[in-house]
Amino acid sequence: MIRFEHVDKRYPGGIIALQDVSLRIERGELVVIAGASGAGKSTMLKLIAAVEQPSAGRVSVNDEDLRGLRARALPYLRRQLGLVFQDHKLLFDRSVFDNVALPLAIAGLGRKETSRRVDAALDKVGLLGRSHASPIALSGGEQQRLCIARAIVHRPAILLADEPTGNLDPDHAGAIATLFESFNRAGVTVVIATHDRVVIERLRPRRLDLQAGRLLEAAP
Amino acid sequence: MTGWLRAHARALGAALGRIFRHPAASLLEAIVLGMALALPLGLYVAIDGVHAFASRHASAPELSVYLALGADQRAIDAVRARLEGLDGVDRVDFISRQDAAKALRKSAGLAEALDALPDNPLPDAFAIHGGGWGASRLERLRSEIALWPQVALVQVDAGWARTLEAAAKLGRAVAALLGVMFGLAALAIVFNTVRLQLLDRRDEIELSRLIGATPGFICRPFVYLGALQGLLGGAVALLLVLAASAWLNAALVDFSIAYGAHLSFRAVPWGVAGAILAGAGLLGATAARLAAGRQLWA
Repeated sequence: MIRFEHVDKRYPGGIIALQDVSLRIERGELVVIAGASGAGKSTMLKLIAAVEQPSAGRVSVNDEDLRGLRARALPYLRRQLGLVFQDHKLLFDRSVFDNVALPLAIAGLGRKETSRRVDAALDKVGLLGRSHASPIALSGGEQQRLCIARAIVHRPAILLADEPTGNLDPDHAGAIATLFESFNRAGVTVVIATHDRVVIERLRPRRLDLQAGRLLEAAP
Repeated sequence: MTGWLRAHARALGAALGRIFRHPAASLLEAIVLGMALALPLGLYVAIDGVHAFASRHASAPELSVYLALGADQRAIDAVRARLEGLDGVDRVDFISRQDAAKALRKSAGLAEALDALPDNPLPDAFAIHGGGWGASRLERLRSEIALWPQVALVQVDAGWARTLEAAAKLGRAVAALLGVMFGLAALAIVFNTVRLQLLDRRDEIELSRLIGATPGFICRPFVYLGALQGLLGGAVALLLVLAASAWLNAALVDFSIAYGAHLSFRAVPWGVAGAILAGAGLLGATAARLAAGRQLWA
């Protein structure tokens, strides 16, 4: 489903984010990319979402080589993904409902179906009663759950989460980890970039360790 | 098709929502746009009035040929035949000295003065209607006919109207040029407004791109916003011109009547009003599309 073949990523200024990374993530897997800050975890997720292009090597998603992907096809690739951002990227001038509904608006769903799916997503993350609230009125943990609801509302095949428990206490981090586990059980491929031990211990995932841009434990 | 319509309805709703959320700012933008569009439109309306006035008078006889007071029927017939034989003459009307006196009595209130005279002082005359002679041709004709026997005077009548019509034509060209210039100014105004809106919404745009929005999805609400702003600006321009012409019309009519003419601003025709609104909307949409495209490429 996701494949890295000898991938290098260098940023302007000579910063090396990834070096010769090769791996394979199969459909329905639950994978954690672990490593210290600056190890290249976020870069890997950005490469999968085609936010960045590799400097060398090849990244493919669903057998689609992202190098050859036309700009016109990019939005449709991203609609197969659910993205959970470290900084949440919530729209604070919109309600909780409207934030979650955005991917469905992009997909062109009708009002009724949108309402049904948003309610289901909010219910799943425990925010159903807050749908009319402003995201600014939510706690950090609730904002993260809102971000997760937005990531899953359009039923993506792959869920990518970048430090999803970065600012949360262990209890809230555990709750978030449980959410990811439940999505994975429902068949979603989940890739989490984190250095949070709580998440790693709770999920017992397949673990990929990155150190200074190199993969320590390569995929089979 | 339903999805396409839904996407457009959503974009239109978002654009209307932005206008209603910021009514004061939207109104000010519409007034600025309206003023930019009102200037060439106002000039067009003024020139249209002058053009209509000139056209009415340009259809008057081009030349009046006055015969000598003692000209007899033979002389009259001879002059008529020569006039009808001239190249480009559409029609030759004979006005007898009796008819001329009758008309003068009616139109100028000179009955008493005419009665006081021992004899009718007016000559027989011909009014010549031509087919669009230029000023130089008219002058040549005037000189040529003036030399004919029994011709006392030849007068070029519609020359001033033709000149006025030519000036109106020039004025229309100037109005069109101003229209282009102020249209570009309106384009810049909408471009900048939408650019600011895009900057204000850059987080939303970035997020939308990350989660699979197409450029069309991102641009559409801004294009509708630009089109609506253009429409509002066009409507303001029409209202301004309508109000200004209504305000000035009475004074203009009084002024022109004092000079024996009737000059007035005409209402903007429905077709022109529709074209102004459609053009302004299209202008706004184009400016917004350019601004959104620039932002997306950046």
